[in-house]
Amino acid sequence: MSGLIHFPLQDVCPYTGAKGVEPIDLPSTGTLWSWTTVNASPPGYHGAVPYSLGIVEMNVDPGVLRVVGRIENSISPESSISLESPIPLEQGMDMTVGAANVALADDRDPSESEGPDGADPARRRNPPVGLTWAFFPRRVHRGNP
Amino acid sequence: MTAHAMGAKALREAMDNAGVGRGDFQAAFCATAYGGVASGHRVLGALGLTGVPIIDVEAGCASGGAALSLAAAAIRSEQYDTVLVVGIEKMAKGMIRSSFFPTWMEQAGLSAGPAYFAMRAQRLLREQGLSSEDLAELVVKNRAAGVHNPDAMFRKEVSASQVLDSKTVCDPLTLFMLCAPNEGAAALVLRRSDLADQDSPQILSARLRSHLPGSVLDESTPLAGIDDSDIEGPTSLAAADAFTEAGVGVDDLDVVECQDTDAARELLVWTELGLCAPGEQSRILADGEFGIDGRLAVNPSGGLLSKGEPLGASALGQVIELYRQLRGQAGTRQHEAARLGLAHTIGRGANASVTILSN
Repeated sequence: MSGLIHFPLQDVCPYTGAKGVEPIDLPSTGTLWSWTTVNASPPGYHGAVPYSLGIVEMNVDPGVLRVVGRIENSISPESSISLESPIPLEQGMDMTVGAANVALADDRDPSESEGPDGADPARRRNPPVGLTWAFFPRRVHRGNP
Repeated sequence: MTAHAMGAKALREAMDNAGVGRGDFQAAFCATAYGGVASGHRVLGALGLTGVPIIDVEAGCASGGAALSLAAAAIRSEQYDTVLVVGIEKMAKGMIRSSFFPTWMEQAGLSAGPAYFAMRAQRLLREQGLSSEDLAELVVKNRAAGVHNPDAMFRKEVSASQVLDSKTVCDPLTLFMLCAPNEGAAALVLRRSDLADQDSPQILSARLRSHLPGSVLDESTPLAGIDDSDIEGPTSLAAADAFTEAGVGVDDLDVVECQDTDAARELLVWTELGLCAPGEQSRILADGEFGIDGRLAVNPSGGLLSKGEPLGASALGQVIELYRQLRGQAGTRQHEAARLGLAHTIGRGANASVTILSN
C-alpha cells in the first residue's frame, strides 16, 4: 500500500493501482494555497458569477493534500453560510471546510406549475439546488486566542 | 465551412505538395476532439479517398501529436510506406465545454478551464520569481511573430500595457494572455525516407506521454494532489523520450513551437523542456533571445496566442511551421539557422506530445 492520500475516494489507488483503499477522515481545516475568481459562467454552470475557486492545502499523514473547491467568502444567494463581509484572501490563510449550495439547471416542465402562463412565484423562489464542498476563510484573531 | 471540409482542403494541399495521390498511401489518421464519429472518413470521403484504414485519434490538445506518433510508428515498423495525417476542429466561442468533466463538476463551477490556468500561472510567478509583466511580454513576443504569419487569427502587434489592460478573465490572466478557441485544419503526408522528397525534413521522433498522478494543477484536472515537487509532468516525460530517440539534446535546437494556451503555460514549458532554467524567462524576454532572430526561435508562427487553438489541428500546425522553417519557406518569420526543430503540445488528459524534426 502506498500510504498516500487521495481525494475523492476511489476503488483503486491512483498511485499504485492497488486495491484495498481505506477511507479516512480528512481534516476540516487547511490553508489557502491558491485561488482565483471566475468572472464568466463556464458551460454547464447555472450559478452566480463572479465566484472564486481555490486550492486548500491540508496536513495529512504523510505530507500534504491539496484539494480543489469553491471559496465562499461573501454574502451570496448560493452560499449556505453568510459572512458579514468578505475577508480579503491571502496566500497561506486559515480555511475551514464546509458546504455550499450550487444552482442546478431548471429543467422542470413549466406546464406543471400553477397559475396563468406557468408563472408560479414559489417556483421562482425555489430553484433546484445541489450541494458541494467549499472552503471558507476563518476569522482568526491572532495573539488573542 | 465545416471542420471536415477544412480538413479536405488541407489534405488536398498536402497531397498535391507531396505529389501523392490515390493509391499512393496505405492509411490515414485524423486528429480531432470535437469532430464527431468517423471524422476521418468524412474528410477522406469528401476527396473520394476511402478504402484504406482510417483511424480517428483523440488526445485533447495533443490529438495531432498523438496521430503523428502513430503514423510515424507505422512507417518505422514498415507496416506502411506512406500515410496521411490530418487534424481538424471547429470550436465554439468562449470557454471550452469538455465532455471530460462530469455534469456535477460543471454545476459546481469546477470545470472553468481558465481558473486552473490562472492558479498554475500564480504558482509559476510565485515559485520562479516572475511577474504579470513577464506574462505580458510573452504575449508581446508571440503576437509580434504572428504579424508575419498569413495563417494566423490575430496579425496585429500588441504592447505590454495593452495586454495588462485587457479584461481580466481569471487573475492574473487577462483576455490577451489566453489563446482563443477557433477553427482550422492541418495535414501532412508522411513517407518512408527513400520515397520522400530529399529536401523534406525528417521526423526523428514523435512521442506522446500521459500524466503521473499527484499534481493538483496538472491538465488531468484532478480534485486533489500531493506535494508534487518530485513528480515529473507529462511534457518533461515526452521530451525525455523524444530527445533520447532522436539522439539530440536541447542545445541542438534552432526552432521550437510549444503550447501557449496561456502566457504562463509557455513560460513554464520553457523550463519543462529545458530551454532555460527557472527564473531566467524575464531576462530571455528582455534580450529577445527566443524571438525570430534570437538564439532559439520559440513560436515563430506566433503560437496559439496569435493563431487561436483548433484542438485537433493545432499540434500538426506546429509541425507544419517547423517543416516550413526547416525548408526555409517561412517568409518574413524565417529563423536564419533552422536545422533542428521541436514541436510540443500539452493538454487535457493529461496528454503531452513532443515531435523532433531535422532537415
